[in-house]
Amino acid sequence: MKLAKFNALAGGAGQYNCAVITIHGLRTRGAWQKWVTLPFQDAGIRYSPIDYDHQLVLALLRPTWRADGFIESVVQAWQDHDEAGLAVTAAGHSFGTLVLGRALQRNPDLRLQRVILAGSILSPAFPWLELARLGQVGQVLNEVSRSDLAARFARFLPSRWTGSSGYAGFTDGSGTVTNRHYSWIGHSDAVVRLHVEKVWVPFLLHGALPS
Amino acid sequence: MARSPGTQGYTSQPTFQNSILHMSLAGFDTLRREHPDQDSAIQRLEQVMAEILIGDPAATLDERHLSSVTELSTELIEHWLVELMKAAALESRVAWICPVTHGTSTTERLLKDLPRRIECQKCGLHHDYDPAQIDVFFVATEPLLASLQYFRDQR
Repeated sequence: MKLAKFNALAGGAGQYNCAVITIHGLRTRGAWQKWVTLPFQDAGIRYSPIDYDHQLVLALLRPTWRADGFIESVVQAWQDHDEAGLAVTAAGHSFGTLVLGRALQRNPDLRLQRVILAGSILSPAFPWLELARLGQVGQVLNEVSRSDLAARFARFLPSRWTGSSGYAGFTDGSGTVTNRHYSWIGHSDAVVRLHVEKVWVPFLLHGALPS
Repeated sequence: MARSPGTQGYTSQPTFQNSILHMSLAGFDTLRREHPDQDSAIQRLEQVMAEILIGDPAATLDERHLSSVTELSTELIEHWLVELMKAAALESRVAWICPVTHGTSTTERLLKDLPRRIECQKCGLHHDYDPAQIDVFFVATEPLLASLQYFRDQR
């Protein structure tokens, strides 16, 4: 039986290389989190989408406080994969990147082998190096675009942990973070099927990026 | 309810085939409970699996072989093998299939234990991990093998 077919039938009891948690942004329930099931499943990646429902942009008035309210669902998903003995990875989009960053900061025992950030609204000075030193994170892929206006204006948000890292990249130079620049993609354009298959999946599986 | 050797109701010495008809291998009661309208097909699969495992308790079970022997559809066998795995009667294993020879390059208990790259024992080339080249097959668990004992004794 092909691996993808087996995992489709077996669900959580299937055979997996690793696990991934995804977190969507505001003003959406993250429709992309449904279709990424297939490429993840095909690659043998156990998958947990976090759906915190449609949130209004008003959440950005107190972004960190709002993001902290969704941490528990990330922790629960992480525990489920960790108990299955799998290395856990994560991918966040927009506000989901803040939820992810805060989940790591608030849970020193949460460990993510690899992290993908798309349209990140985390501060460019987010302490990835410190998190890496603590063993909480292995590699971070930050997908950056100068066309991402939402990420650009995130620097005006009222939180020390938010900023324009999806527009300008992270300043961390330790090698933990790879800022991968794209010229024309906007705030949500990285989350498309071909990109997930060609970039996200190899990175989550092996930390490899196409040249 | 699981059927046990003591409840079979035979008055004469049962043959091997008869004993299979009146016994359940581990996991098959669950299958019957979930698919009450498929009893004869389930019985056919049970009989074939018992025969295979009595011959070789370490035999690998895959849907293509079982389908050809039972004449049940591959699709149906796939579903039932996974259900038997969930009922703790089977365990899954993974095989890295050589893209050149289509033979098995290597096998592991867990997918995550497969290397990222292998030197293929079949063709001698190096292959990078490709999920499309991974096949899953099954082996019997201890409870399933233990439930074979009765059939083995009857042979």
